[in-house]
Amino acid sequence: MSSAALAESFISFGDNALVSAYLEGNELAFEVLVHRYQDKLVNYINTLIHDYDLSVDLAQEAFIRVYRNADRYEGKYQFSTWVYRIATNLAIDEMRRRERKGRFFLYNVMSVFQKEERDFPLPDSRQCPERSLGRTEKMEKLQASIDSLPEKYRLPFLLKEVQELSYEETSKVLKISLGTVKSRIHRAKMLLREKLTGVL
Amino acid sequence: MNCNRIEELLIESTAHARRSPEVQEHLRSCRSCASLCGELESIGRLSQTLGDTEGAPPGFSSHVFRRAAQTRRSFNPFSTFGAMLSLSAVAALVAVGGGLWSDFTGAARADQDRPPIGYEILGPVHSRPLEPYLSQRPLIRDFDRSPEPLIELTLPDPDHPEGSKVGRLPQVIRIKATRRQTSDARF
Repeated sequence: MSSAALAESFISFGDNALVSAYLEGNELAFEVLVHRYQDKLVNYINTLIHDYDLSVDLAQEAFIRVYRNADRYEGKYQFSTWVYRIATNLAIDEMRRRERKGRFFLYNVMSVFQKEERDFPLPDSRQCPERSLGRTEKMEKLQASIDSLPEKYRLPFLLKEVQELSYEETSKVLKISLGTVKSRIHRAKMLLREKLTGVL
Repeated sequence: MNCNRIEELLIESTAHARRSPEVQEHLRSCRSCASLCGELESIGRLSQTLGDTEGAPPGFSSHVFRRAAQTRRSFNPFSTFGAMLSLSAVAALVAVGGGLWSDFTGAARADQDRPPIGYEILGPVHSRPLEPYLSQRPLIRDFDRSPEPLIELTLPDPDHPEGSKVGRLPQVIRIKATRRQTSDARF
């Protein structure tokens, strides 16, 4: 079978079957997995760290870790759970790194200025206008409200509501109980509802 | 069903709760729960749109495959042959001793001292001159792996002298650059 035909046949495979095929030595299976998850991972990381280029780097790093550690993957949970867990850890590391070094990410610095109603002296390096096209004011406000949530509410909310993972998957990605995930998402939604009063 | 139960069901899954005849009946007669339902639906709809943005750039997957291929070819220190080579390397290092260490640290220092000049800034364009800040040894990340290194500069704020409330905020700017020298590099 040609590699193109093989890749074509892999497209219909489930994630776990692709990991098995990759472990049996078929690199095309890994490529199909990357294509399947690349957009989701970049977007997910970007909603956490608000730096598109760095999100791309971290998503690539997540796939490289999958590639290196595929033999440790246990098929008892979903591949998406594993890859989102790696991505979440990388994003959290980046957020912690920023906190540790005391370097406010430009986005956060601007938030401080906006709260104080001051002119910000540096250019706005958030999403460039081309990337913002199509983003409505409501979406911008929702994003800002999500960013202001404490991390323990923000992460489950993003995984469940933005990435559309199930409660069970979210629980496994974050390694917290199902009940805790449900109560945190409940709390996140109530907080967002408060923050978005008059907007929705 | 009372309002508390309806609220729980709506928050757990608005779409699912909406399909229940009991919930539908309650929503017809309870303005508060109907309002909650509408707001949660809006949050859900907008949230799904947030996750549906531009995605990975062109060339993303080929970059991953290239790095993966490098990983595969890279030296494995846990193989038998690799372990022997590792041991030999450690022995050689021990034999060479402190002199080599001194050379190494000297070289590292020299590298650090090298003026970080000669970068053409790709963007964004700014009004302040670049050179004074590049001379403050900006952090250059991923230089060896990428033809477009990311440079981080911590900027002094001329409008707010050190010690003022605003001036204490570290201001970090990230710019992409190539290593070609240019005389009019500005940021």
